[in-house]
Amino acid sequence: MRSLLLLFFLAAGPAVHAQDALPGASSLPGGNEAGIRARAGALAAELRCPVCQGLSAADSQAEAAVAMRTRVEQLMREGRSDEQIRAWFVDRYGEWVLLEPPRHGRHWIVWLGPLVLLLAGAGVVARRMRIGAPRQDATDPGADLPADLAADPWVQRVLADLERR
Amino acid sequence: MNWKILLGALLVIVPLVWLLATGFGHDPRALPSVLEGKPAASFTLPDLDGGTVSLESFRGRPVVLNFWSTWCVPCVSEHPVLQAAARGEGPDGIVFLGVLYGDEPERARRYLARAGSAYPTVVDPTGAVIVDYGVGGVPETFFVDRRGVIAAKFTGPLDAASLARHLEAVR
Repeated sequence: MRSLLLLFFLAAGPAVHAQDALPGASSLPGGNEAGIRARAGALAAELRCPVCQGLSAADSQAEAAVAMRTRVEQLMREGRSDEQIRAWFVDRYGEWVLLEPPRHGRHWIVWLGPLVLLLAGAGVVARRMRIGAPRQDATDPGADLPADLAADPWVQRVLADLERR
Repeated sequence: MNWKILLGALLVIVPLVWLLATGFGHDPRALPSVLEGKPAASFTLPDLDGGTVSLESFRGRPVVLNFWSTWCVPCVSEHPVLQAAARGEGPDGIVFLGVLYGDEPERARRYLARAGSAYPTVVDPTGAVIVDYGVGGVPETFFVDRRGVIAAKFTGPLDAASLARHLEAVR
């Protein structure tokens, strides 16, 4: 039992450091059968089924997908963390096997690109709206009217209406 | 004002064109062979003739590992090329080994009896070896050197010239 515990901590040590997301339950090696099933299902959903079109290894009954799920479960029973298992598959299939693009290097472009474009678009819209809006520093609309015209009751009504706006 | 618009448009268009050019320049089906230079995963599997084949038993000799199936048309087209090359090898030459992928052993036996078989084919019932080698589809051929390191991976049907080139590289 003690050696098992030791093995647990030896296996968990590097795993905890390698984990950059989803801390907690998913980094625990071993665990009960139902837990492994759930973890393996979630992890297989992140892996690309190599013989399918845009399906994860969790969504396909293809032989390759079934074999991948079996291997995920096996690696989990050996006490590997989710991060280590992802790396195991990347070592063999390449980064292509991850359905979600990794968050490093030039891959950031797919994560940040849409955000940058959205902000740029918002900037353009904001600029447009400011140009179209009535200027707050506009001078008194009646200021440059000739005196006789300014005295006209109809013109005064118009000016009053303009003031109200 | 106009040159500002032009500059802004260029700022958006040039990187976009560059991105698309590099993206479409790649063949999305060509899978990068990340296993090249890495040790070939060991396995011991039953072959179609009731025997057992272990990859380690060939250590010291180059090995051609061909993943195939009878339902795969390109595999059928490369079959004579592989058979001819295997027949040309001496007892201490390059080892040829087939791995059956997603197929019935009985169907493979019938196929080989008809199409000719110069080397053993192993059956991988759990798909463990397929995953170990990151096999996406068939045919895929791995060239393992004398030290047991994967020297090259070939995706798709081999023609005589490509096969000869890869064999010379591991010989």
